[in-house]
Parts: sequence; structure tokens; C-alpha cells
Amino acid sequence: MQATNPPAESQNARRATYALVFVLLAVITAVEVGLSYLGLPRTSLTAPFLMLSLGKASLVAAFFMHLRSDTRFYTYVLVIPALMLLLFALLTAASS
Amino acid sequence: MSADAYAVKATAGWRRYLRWNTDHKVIGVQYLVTTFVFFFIGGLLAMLVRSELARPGTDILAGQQFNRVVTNHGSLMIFLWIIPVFAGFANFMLPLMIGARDMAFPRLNAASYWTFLAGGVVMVASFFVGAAETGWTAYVPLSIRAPDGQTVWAVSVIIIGASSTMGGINFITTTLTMRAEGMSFWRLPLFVWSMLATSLLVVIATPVLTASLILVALDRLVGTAFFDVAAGGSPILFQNLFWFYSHPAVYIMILPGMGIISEIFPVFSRKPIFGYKMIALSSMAIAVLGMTVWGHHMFSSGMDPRYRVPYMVTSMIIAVPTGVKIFSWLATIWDGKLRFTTAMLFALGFISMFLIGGITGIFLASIPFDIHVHDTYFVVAHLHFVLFGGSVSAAYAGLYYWFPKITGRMLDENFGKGHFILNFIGANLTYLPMFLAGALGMPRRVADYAPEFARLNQLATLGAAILGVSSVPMLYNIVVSWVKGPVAEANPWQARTLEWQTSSPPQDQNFDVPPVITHDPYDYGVAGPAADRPQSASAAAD
Amino acid sequence: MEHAMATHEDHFRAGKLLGLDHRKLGMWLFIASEVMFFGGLIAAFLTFKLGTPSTDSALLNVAQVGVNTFVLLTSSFTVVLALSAIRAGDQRGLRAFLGLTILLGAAFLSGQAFEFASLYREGLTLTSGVFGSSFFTLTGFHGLHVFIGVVWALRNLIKAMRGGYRAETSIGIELFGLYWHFVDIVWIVLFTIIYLI
Repeated sequence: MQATNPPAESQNARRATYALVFVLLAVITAVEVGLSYLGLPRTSLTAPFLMLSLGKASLVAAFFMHLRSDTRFYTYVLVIPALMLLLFALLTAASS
Repeated sequence: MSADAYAVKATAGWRRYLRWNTDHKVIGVQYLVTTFVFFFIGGLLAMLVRSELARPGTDILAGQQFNRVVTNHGSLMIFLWIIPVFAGFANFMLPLMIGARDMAFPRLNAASYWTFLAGGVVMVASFFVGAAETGWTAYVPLSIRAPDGQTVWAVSVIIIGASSTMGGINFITTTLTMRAEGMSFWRLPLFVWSMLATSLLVVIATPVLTASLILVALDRLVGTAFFDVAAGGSPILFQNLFWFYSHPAVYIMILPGMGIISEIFPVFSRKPIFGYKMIALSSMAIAVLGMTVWGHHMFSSGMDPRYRVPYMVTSMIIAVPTGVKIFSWLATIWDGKLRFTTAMLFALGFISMFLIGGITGIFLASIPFDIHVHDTYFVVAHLHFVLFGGSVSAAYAGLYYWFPKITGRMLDENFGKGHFILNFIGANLTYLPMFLAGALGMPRRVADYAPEFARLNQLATLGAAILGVSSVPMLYNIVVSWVKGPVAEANPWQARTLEWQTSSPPQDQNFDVPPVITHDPYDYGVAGPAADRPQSASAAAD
Repeated sequence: MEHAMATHEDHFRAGKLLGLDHRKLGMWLFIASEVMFFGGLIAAFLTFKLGTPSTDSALLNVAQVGVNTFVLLTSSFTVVLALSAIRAGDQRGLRAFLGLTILLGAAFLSGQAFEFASLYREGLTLTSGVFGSSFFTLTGFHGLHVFIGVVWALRNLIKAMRGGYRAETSIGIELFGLYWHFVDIVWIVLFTIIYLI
């Protein structure tokens, strides 16, 4: 399916979204780096870091990869293996 | 008359099978011929194994040689025969069955075949630099310390895995995006459903095997520490990575075969398939569950024992969708107007032999039993009943069923029946004694064994000899029939699925006009206006 | 029912009814397989991170790599802007943003090379132990994927300079973008589990 050729105006709206996502990604990265230098115990930061990185990955997937606007099927193709990966990596790391 | 013209064209055009060609029917034949060649090589290796094991003591093959033969027998059969032969059938049949003119990515399709061939050549080449010798499972640390051929073997498996993944992506995309009008998901032939489930496993699991072998190669070639216990490496890590693929691999090896059985039973019972939706959903269930059971290969590995019970549970649960299929097939043939063609005989043989293999699989899922028979001939018997009694029977059934469509010629039914009888007797004689030998304690992958196992091994070797002989009528039949067998009509079995609504072999681009599907695939013997009509009312029969 | 001569588009009508473009689906399935490939390497890394804790991770410079992470994130931004440009028919924008992507990708790779070199000087190598082995293998394969992406982007740029893309035929840029963003997402995960946690 060829992407519909949106007129220039809606491309501008899209670009604004992309820019906002980019700014969010940059801010989250800065926060992560900042947090890691605060000298807090590593274990207490695990959950926040995981959430933040999940947030970044979701932003890239949803907006840059257009998962939000495309058929939901593509989202399943990404998310189901990702969950598989999570399960497998944790099980393996724990049992090896 | 046109069928005759096609038959002539097929033989006249044999050169195109030796070149890059993006037509799925050509690629299908390339896969089928190549995999059968590897099957025979793997079979010869098996004959060597059984010759050595006919008597206690190492008479023909000394230890390392024996290990190499056993390793490459398994590797060839798994990676170069059973997995790709079904890719070959699927390549030829899947587009036809859904009413498409080719696969979604014809060039990727051709690339997957040539990649497969390259990987196969590399694997066979490894024989000449000192073959792999660790068993096909290539456990570390043995596979790190084994001689150079092991690296070549690992590289070949990586290449073959890439080919398999390309195929998986192609089959899924084709099935989802290229079905003809009216071909809803619930009208798909069950072979297509089985390939969908199989391809999901291929795409998800194969890359993990690739990763595992890359780590092995790195340890071997550059001295990384992944599996070096002294440096903190973990042999169990390898087993987790390896079996995450290799367990789903067994479903990759059986699901397409089950799909073929689902095709054959309705045709040769003149009855609708029983439980179409349940069989389709069971295929998907087996694929999903199949990704959760890999740890049952590791009950004795030394991994934390607390992980074992969940694996036992999932391994037993997977018997349920499998059982649903078996009962559905039995209900399909029950009270049917059975036609005992060779394809049907192999399908029936599949049921009995796969059942033995499957039930012994449930035994093996039980932790205490598995610990007792792990690495014994019980496991060898189990795996050969499911893979040889099961998958290979299904591959043979597919061969006898689809040979007319692929080549435009009919196979001889007498040679076929001879093949079946020798195969059935040979397989049972070879593998049944192994259950007992294993339960009594005979280890696997050994060139020598205690004298108390001699009688059982003699029986197995006799069975293997019969199996070897059984390949003669099959080979003769294939070669002679392909060259000058009786010309096949479009639909010699009076089947309803779309591949039979084309000529034998099908014309270029498969269909004059894209067919419009109006019926279910298996409504045989159903009284009324839909009686024995093909799936597409508009597709032109020959 | 008319049976007009099937055009190329007709062959994929089943996909279209599901909202699927076969080329995008193929790329997503490929991405799924790559998720699992990195999954294997990540499983190895986590095995050692959790099972064989080592002081080697103290050698990692989070701030430096954080900058590199920012570079890669920016390159994802330029990629999607390149796609947006060609969808609006803007050839110059396409070329400019592809070029920027290539520069940023190359910058990321240089940053990696620099980091690898300094780690090697401090004794953390591919063969120095399980941390070194799993660290360099995981980040190395990611870097290889970035490199392949840069080469692909270069090929796209050359094609763009020859006028090879129009708004209606920009699927190649979209497919490339999917690959590139995926590689970025892998880095997001790697940055977290290797450097942050």
C-alpha cells in the first residue's frame, strides 16, 4: 500500500510531532545520564531506567516507525517477539 | 492434449532447474531434488552407524569417526532434509493453494534456495576437513575443543538458518497478502495453516540458533570466554540458546507434515476433514506452546532444578493440541470411502508411528523418567518415531500425492506400495527395539556397547537394512516415472483444493485469471449442490 | 464478475484488505527475526551480568556514550524527516536529511570506535573475560547493523541524487527507515542494560 500522499500542511503537522518526539527522546536521555551520575544505589535505579528506556523505544516505534498510524498487525509483529525475547533472556540469564 | 505438451516441456526444460529462477514452481523442484539428495547421503551415514552397531565392539568405525558419522547423520537429516523438504513442497504448493501467481518475494525465494544449497555444500565440505563430531547438538565445551571441521559445520548451520528465515518471511507474507478473492482464512487448506504456524517458529527461533553458533565460533576462533568455565563462561547458556531454537525445530519438522496428512485424508476418504478449525488452531497452539518447552532437554544438565517442573508442565500440555489433531484425523477417515493409494498408506502409517513417537514424548516430559533415559536409546527411538515414522512418512505421502502435479507424470502405484511395506516394516523393526535398549540403559552416540544389548541392536540393524532396501523402489519409481511415466491429468485424485484446478504441471503464472474462491476445501461426499465441486467455481480445470 | 487482466497491484489485494503492504510486512517480519537475534546476544550478556558480576563495567563512560546515544537518536529524527520530505515531493529535503543521517551514523560509529579503543587501552577486550566478550560482541553486532544501515543510506542517497524517488514511490525510504529505527531501538535497549543498569 503506497502511503497516501498527504498535502504539505499535514506533513507539517507530522513534522511537528516528530520534533516533539525527538525533544522528548533527548530529554529522557539526558535525565538517564543525569540519574546515573547521582551516586544512587544501582538497584534502586533499575526500574526507573527500564521504564524510561521502554518509553523511548515506544516513542520511536509508535511515531518514527508509524506504528500508531498503521495497521495494528505490525505492532503485534514487533511486540510479540519482543515479549518472547524478554521471557527468554530472563529465563536464560537466571538458569544458566 | 495440453497436459501432454506440458509433460514434454517439463523434461525439455530441465536446464532451468540448474540456474537462478524466480518461479516458485522451479524453486520448489530445486528444493525437493536437493533435499532428497541430502536425504540419501544422510541415509548412507545411518547405514554406516547401523553397520557399526550390528555387533558390540568397534569394528568398522573407531570412536572419533563414529562420532563424526553420527553427528553428520543428524545434522544432514535435520538441516538439509526434513526442514527444507517441506519448504520445497510449500514453495510449489502454497501459492497455488491460495490462488496466487507466485510468492510475495520471488527473488528472495530464489535467494533462499541458493543460500540453502551453499550452506549444504559447506556442511558436506566439512566432512573433508575433519567433520563435526559433537553430535548435532554441538554442546560446549566439547564443540569448542573439537577440530576445525566443527567451525565449518557451525558456519554451514548459520548459512542454512539464514535461508530458512528468508523462506519463513516469504511464506507468512504470501499467505497474508496474496490470497485470491474469497480465500478467507477459514477456507485455507490446512497445509497452508501448517506452513503459517511453521514459518512463525522459523522467524522467531532460528535467529537464536544463529546467535548461539556465532558465540561458539567466536570462542573457537578468537578466544572469547562465553563458554570457558575457567573464565566464568557458562555451558548451560549454550544449551538454553541452542534448545530455544532446536525444540521449536521439531515442530518446524512435523507441522508441515501434519498439514500434508490433513490434505490427504479427506481426499482418499471422500469425506470432509473433521474439525477443520480445531486442526488449524491446534497448529497455531503447537507453535506457540512449542516455544515454551525447550528446557525439557536440560533436565539433567545441572541447571537450577526449580526450573524443571514448569517445563514438564508445558511439555505435557502440548500433547493436547496434538491429540486433537490425531482424533480429528481418525474421525475424518472413520466410515469413509477409503482409497488405499500409496499416499494414503503413508498417511495411515504416519498415524500409527507418530502416535508411538508422540506418546513416548509424554513419557520423556516426565522429569524422573527423563532423568532415567536421558541420552539413552529410548530418546533415539522416540525421535525417530516422530521424525522418521512421522515427518518422513508425511514427506513420502506428499511425494506420492503431489508428484503428478509437480512433474505431470504418475508414479507407479505398485512400486509405491512396495516402498510403503518395506518402509513400514523396516522402520518399526529398526526403532522399536531401541525403546527397550534405552530403558535397559544403552547410551546413545556410542560405537560400542555392553553385550547384553547385542540382540536388540541386531534387530535394529536388520530393520535399517530393510529401510535401505526400501529406498530402491522409491528411487527407481521417481526417476523412471519422471522421465516416462504415464502422463498425469490435472486432477488425478479428484481433489478440491486449488492446486488441482491447474494443469499438471501448472502453467506459467499458475492461473489464466485469478480464481475466485466459493467453497471450502474439504467438502467431499457432501450431498447437494456443493457436492465434489472444486474450491473455485471459476478456476478452469484442465 | 469481470476478470480483467490482473495488474501488479491486484495480486496483493488480500493484504490491502487487511491494511498490509507486503513489503512493509516483510520488513517487519525481518525486524522480528532481528529482535530474536539480538535477544540471543542479550541473553548471553545478561547471564554474565547477573551471574558473574565484574568490576569491568566501572570502566564504561556513561556520559560519553550518552552523547553517542543522542547522536543516534538524532539520526532517527533525520530519517523520518527524509521520509516526510519525499512524501511531500521535496527532493532536496530527502537528499539533505539522508546526508545528515549518514553523517550522524558515521559519527555514532566513530564514537563507538573511540570508546572501544579506550576500553582496549584499559585492558577490557573481546577476550579479557566474560564481560569483555559479551560487551564487545553485543555492541559490535549492533555497530555492524549501523554500518550496514549507513551503506544502505548511502545507496539511497545516490539513488535520490539520480531522481530515483518520487512521492508515490518512496516505499524504499520507508523500508530503510524501519530498519534504521529498529537499530536505534536496539541501541536504546543496549544503552540501558549495558551502561545504565
